[in-house]
Amino acid sequence: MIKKINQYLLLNHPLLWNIKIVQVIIFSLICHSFFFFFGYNSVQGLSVFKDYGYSGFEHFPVILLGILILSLGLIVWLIYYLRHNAFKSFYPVTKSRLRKEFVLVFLVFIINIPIFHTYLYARHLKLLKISAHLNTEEDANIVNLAAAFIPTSSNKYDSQNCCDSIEARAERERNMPLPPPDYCDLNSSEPVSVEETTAAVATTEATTAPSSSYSEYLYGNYCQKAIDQVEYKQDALDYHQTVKRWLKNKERDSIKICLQAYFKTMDKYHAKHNVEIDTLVAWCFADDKNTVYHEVSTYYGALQEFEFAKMNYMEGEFDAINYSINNVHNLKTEGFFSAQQTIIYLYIALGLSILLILFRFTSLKPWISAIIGSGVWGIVFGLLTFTFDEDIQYVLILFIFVSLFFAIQLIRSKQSKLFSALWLHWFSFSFLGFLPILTYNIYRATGEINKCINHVWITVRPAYPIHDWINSNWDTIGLINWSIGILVTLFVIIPLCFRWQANPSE
Amino acid sequence: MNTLKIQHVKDCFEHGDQNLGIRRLIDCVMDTNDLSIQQNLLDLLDVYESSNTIDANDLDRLIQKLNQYPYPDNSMRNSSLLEVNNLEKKYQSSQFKISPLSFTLKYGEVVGLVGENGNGKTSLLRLLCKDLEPDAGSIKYAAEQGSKSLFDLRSRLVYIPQRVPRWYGSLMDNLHFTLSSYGITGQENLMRAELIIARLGLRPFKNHTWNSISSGYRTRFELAKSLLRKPELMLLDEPLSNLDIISQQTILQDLKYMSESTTHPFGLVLSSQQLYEVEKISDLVIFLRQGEAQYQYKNQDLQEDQELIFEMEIEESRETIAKTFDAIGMTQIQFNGGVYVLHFKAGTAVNEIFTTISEKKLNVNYLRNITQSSRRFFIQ
Repeated sequence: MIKKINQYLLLNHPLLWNIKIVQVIIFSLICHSFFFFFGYNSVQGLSVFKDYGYSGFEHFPVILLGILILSLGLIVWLIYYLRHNAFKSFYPVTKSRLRKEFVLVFLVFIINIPIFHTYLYARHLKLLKISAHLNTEEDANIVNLAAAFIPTSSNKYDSQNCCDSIEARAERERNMPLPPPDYCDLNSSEPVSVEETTAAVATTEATTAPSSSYSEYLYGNYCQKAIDQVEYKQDALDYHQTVKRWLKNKERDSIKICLQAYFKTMDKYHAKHNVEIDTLVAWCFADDKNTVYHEVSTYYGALQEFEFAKMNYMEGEFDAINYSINNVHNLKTEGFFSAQQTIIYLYIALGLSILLILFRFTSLKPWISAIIGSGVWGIVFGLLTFTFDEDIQYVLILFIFVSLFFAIQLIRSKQSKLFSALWLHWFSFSFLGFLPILTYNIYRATGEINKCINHVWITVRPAYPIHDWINSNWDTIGLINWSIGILVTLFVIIPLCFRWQANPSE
Repeated sequence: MNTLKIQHVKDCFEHGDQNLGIRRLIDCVMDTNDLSIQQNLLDLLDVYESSNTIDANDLDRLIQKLNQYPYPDNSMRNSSLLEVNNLEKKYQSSQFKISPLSFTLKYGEVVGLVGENGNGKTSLLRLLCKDLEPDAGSIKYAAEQGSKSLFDLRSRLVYIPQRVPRWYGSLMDNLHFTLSSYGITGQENLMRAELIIARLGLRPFKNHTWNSISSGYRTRFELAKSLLRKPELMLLDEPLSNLDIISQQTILQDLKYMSESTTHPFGLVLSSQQLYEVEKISDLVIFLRQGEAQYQYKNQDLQEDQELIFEMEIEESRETIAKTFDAIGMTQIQFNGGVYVLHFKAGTAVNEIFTTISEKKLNVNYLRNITQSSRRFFIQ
């Protein structure tokens, strides 16, 4: 079957045959299926949510395996793909045929590169499946209410953290000391960006924040939401009121039922614990003021090996249950595909495609020389950066235009094939930097300007609208730059390669 | 033209020259675009290969079909394909230069380039295929009129270097890929590939790989691939160097025949050290020495003041030769590469030389009149 398809392509569609499209699709299907299967089966139960992250080192072996498989596949594919070159053999090739070849090469890369993404997507689907029955809102409600009776840290019961009532909280916020003004040195008149100013303020706050005075730790002071990423109907204050009422009325049974529900939820999320509910309830009423005398550990099994700790020690994965509920909530509410990841894959595929077609449409000598030469340019620009600081960005933009000028000039005048190809390669390697450099400079030039007046930073010019637009649209700019990259390759680089190849070698 | 070709086929078979008959028959069939005729020929070849005989009825039927086939008018033939005027090329690094060189080439004609190594044959071929830029002079191609770009023009000029580049993958796949790249698809692709390998005697090797065939057959496969490209101008650098002595003449004659194709004639420029073989098929032989050209046209009239030159391998001593031929006007005697080269004054009759040899009973092993051969240019 595959042989027949290949024979048909050979006789009727030489470009598709040459690019080994059938083999590439089969390889891609196998790889994606393998990584999907691998990813789907890598999730065994809800316990995964206790420490759940997409970008941690836990996936490193999978990334390594993916790179290894892709590298091997790429080498084998190149061996077959580079066997025949109609363009270099001067078969009747048109520019549009070269463009088709570039697009096909790009497709080969873009369908194969995201195999790791397939692995993650399979995990995502499996996680959705195993968490489908979970009601995070309900679970968070239980956890937030019960958290007051599980003393994991005394500080949470500090009177400074208490919120008593809405009015009391508002009053306390009103009376909070204002952050000190953002002092500056009069000698310095350099404009400072908003980010720098904000960072300075934050640092000042951190260093000048009043330290809380000591007070007794009481269960009644607890006023927090253990799970704050999930949006619930209830405010921390609502939980606080309930807790205070139960403590005041000594409603031991209510507390017990609440804790029973909590530990049932922990069991549901596979969070371990060895807590006795009656003991916890008893701790709440150790004295008339409901003082906190004991703490439980959030690390289950941490001190199991110590004999002395076993008797009265209670511990559980109390943080883990919070993570789990938040993670399940994020999983269900956030989409899997992100623009950023897509753009990264598009850029990788574009970069590799440009590199490959330059090798394919020109020749080995200028290709290798250009790569080595790029390293030399890199060193030169690096040294210039040390000397001239940020002005080097304009030199980079100038370099892009200079290399394009020389490439066109030398190719059109049929001058040295080596040097014309070198400039063409350098332009191809660098042109993608043009828009980001330009945008970044516009972003910097249009930002807020602050000046140091009377020892205080004052905003003398607000940011332009384009500054804010750029700040919130880096993904869009990345996508526009990528699109320009495709267009420049198709309508500038490929026609230049076409002309270069026809030129006499001497 | 095609009537003559078909008659040639008939004559070959009538006189028992099946080998040439089949090759010429393939030429006639390749000039058609009729798939059924091509299939008939391939069936005929299958039978021939298995039994070494040709069914006369099948052959007659095929020839009848060819006679009825509406071949297009061959208007291109004998029209100018290439005009080279005062072409010059200098190499800065080696001080070597090709001095002003001019010639014309028509469709179906052959130009042979001869000369010792390092005298500019390859440079001239590279100039003609646009791989080198001339310093002066011009090259006008008929193909330029229909070319959209320099690349387009270069795709019509097929240059085969002396060292044939390696092929990767199956030999037949390479031929099919070439054809489909030229827009010949489907069944026609299959047929044309089969016909060209049959034409060049490569059928027994079609399932071989590049590594398993000799360098001579590699050259033939390269020629097959180049011929499938339907070139307007074919430039071959030492194509005979890897071929055995029998194949050299066969391949050259085949190339000459194919260049005279009815539907797709082409011009041929080839360089070679096989002087006499090249001379046989060439309409013009260009001898290059230090980049300077001397021309020898086919059937060129003998000039009145042109001396007669003979190449002779003889057992007698130089003194005997001198004494014998001085009487009939020998002016110079040279010993060159195992043979004597004898120069006679203008107006000496060839018969006189033969008569002298016969009368004096000289032991001549080899004798050749090189008066109108470019061989004479090699003699200092």
